[in-house]
Amino acid sequence: MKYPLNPYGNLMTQPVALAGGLNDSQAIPDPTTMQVLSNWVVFRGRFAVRAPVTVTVQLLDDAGSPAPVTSVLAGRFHKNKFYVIAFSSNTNKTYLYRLNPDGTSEGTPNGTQSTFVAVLWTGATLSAPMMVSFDGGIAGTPVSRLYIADNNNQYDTLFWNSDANTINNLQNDFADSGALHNTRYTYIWKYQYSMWGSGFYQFGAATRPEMMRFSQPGLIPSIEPDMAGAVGITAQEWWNVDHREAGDRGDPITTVAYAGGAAIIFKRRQAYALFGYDADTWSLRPISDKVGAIGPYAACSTEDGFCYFWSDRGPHMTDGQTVVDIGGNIRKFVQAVGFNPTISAEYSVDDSMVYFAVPQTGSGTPNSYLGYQRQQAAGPAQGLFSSGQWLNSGGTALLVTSMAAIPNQTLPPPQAAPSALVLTPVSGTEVDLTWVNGDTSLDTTTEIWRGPTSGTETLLTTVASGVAFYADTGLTPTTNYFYKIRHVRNAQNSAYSTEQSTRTFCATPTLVAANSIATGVRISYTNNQAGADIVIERGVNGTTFSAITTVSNPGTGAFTFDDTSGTVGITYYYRVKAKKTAEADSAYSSPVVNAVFGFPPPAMSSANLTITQFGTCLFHGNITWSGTFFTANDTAKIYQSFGGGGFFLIATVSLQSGAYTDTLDNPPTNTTVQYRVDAYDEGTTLSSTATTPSRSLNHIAGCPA
Amino acid sequence: MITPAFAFENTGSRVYKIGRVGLDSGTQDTGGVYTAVLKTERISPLGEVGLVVIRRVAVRIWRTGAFQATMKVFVDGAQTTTFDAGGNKVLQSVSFTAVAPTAPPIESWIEASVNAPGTYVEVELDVASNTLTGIFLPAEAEVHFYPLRRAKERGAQSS
Repeated sequence: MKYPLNPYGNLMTQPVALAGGLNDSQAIPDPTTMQVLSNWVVFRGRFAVRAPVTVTVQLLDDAGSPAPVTSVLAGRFHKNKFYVIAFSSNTNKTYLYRLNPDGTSEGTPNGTQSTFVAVLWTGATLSAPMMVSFDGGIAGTPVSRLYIADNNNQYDTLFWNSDANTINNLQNDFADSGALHNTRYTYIWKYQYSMWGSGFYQFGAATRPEMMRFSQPGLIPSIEPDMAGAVGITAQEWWNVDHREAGDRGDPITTVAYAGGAAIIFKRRQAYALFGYDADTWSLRPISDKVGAIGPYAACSTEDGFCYFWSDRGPHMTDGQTVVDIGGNIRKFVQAVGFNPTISAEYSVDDSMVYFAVPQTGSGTPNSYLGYQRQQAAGPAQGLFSSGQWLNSGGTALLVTSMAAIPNQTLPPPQAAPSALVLTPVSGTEVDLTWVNGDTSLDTTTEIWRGPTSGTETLLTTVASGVAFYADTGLTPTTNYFYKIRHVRNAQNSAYSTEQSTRTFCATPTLVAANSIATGVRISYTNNQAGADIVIERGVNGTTFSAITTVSNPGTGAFTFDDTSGTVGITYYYRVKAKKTAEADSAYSSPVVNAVFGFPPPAMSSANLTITQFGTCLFHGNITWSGTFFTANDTAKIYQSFGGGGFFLIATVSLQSGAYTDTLDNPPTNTTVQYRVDAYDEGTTLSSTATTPSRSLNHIAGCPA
Repeated sequence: MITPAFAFENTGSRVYKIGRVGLDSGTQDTGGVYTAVLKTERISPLGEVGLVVIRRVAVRIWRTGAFQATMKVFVDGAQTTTFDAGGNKVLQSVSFTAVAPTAPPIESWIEASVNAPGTYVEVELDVASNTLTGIFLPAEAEVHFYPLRRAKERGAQSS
């Protein structure tokens, strides 16, 4: 083609860059045709001004007047919430925060600032926290745990129980023989239905860092099969036998991501695919023995099953089968960096873009990001990188620790609120609650709220799924209580039930004892309700009672009452209750007590005899007897008879002892022996008698005849 | 369901949401004002050492909101004096200010007139983040020129 030389001739036009247009999708801009590409990203095949960053929340510590923390470390989605870990050098504490999925505060103290929900660790050492959301538990009592490990191996591994809102130490799951030992993992992840951990630390030392242990914690602790029968072994959630090894011994696992349905296990220069379903099928397949990931946050996964990671040679990706270098056209951004815990990779589903936060200088803190968007038409191998720098709220470079993609996912809330709340006071200290559940899903629990006045209820306790009864004990007698309940499912609340109120009974008196006395029965009780009368009831069978007297306002304290209106020898049962004007009667004392009315004479009912050989030629006659109304001063006189002859007195003992042993020294042999026991009331008056059976005394060969 | 990414501040107390590319305006950005700079590689309309007179550079913008942009033209490596739409001579660069369209999205052309002979041209587009609202996508750039001398061509070989 020849161009005319006349400068006033044809005006020529040539596209110089950016060819295409949003409605013309033929051309794809190539960042490599740019000399300068600062703060632009290639988004869906077009240049766009970079993704801005906006502050969602500022995190506060628990210094005297809450101050901003000094380093935000990591975040993770768990049960409809966005959990963040941060460290404050003001307090040398590492905190756990719970935010809304959009990154704003839950409301304490306001939407733009947040206080913590728990202190994780105390110490000046900065952690590199890992978090894994795991659901376990058994039917009706779900367990939702957010596991938290320190990649720096300085602090114990913890888990946040989001059902109980408590922090627990993983060592509870390793309580072999009931003893607790500091327990740590340096890296944790979840794959299939198991929790995994590597870099296990216990008894003050780290074990093989290439070892990966797995479990289903929170599920059903049980005795490890090969430990069954061992002394002191208790059920545990992590079994020693449940482990796999990846790669060379001593070479730690750096990070884990997912690709192609497998968990990609990275070391610094190796990558493996972990796949399988359970302990019988877990397998490891080497992917690369040349390239690995160089930081705990340096890998991420996309929604279409690819894993992107930063190696010591720049960005790479894998589909779980092969590893591809994707950093070919951004060598100017790629530094030969070593292990760096602040290199991070995360995939933004919104932008269809993988963000890498990497050091510009090859060391130090990341201060730039690379956005990588795959060319859909070109397949997974290559894509478009663009770079930029985020600015923090102060207008200087935003130094990024790690990144996390947080969905605004909403797991199901309770289907309906609980209803028909009924309060039944059963004593001065207990109110029983029953209700109808609006949702009996296995992961739904019920919160019970209680307060002294209407609208002042606070959370009392939480009961498991399907439970429709709760006994609230430890209350104050003659006091008003207000209750309302609601369901909680996936960190979402139902509406409250209709508020109900009730008033507890008078305090239940304590019936200490009922003792026989000469004139009847003496009842000892304690009145626990000021200003109340005490009603004393009596019966003959322990189930049917009638009032025998009402003691008018005895005041609080210990008292006795003598029941003298019964029949001697009858066993009476007693119970008491408090009664006060304008209040509900107290519950009856429990248990009922009984005593025999008066002191009737002892009545023998039977006597028995056994003969035992004692020594070579000796015998013992073992006499036992039983009866009723035996008292301490009653005596038993023991009489003996040989061969059916007359009885003669051989001993006088306590009637209450019920037994006597007669030593038969050189007794007549080949004859019989028999005893009689006479019961003497108060040791003076014969009241009844009983005779034992007659027993044979056979001759023993070699003994005197 | 949206799934934004968040970045955690290593030397501070804040959590940052990484905005959706193109959808969040720069005025919402935490870090205050930054400039997005886009500069092309060298373009030689008539090939290497082909001499032209660069008369105009135009960039087509696809946008949904307001923006302010600055265009710079470099001819043979030197930033060139430009003229605005009224033919007035301005120094070094041309700035454009556009309000948000009433019926977005629209496409807009921004142009810088120049009058500089040379062999290659580079175009730079600068956008200040605090002037953007909505989506701003530079879609196409063109250079308009008069040819003066084509690049030397190899003649057909003959025996």
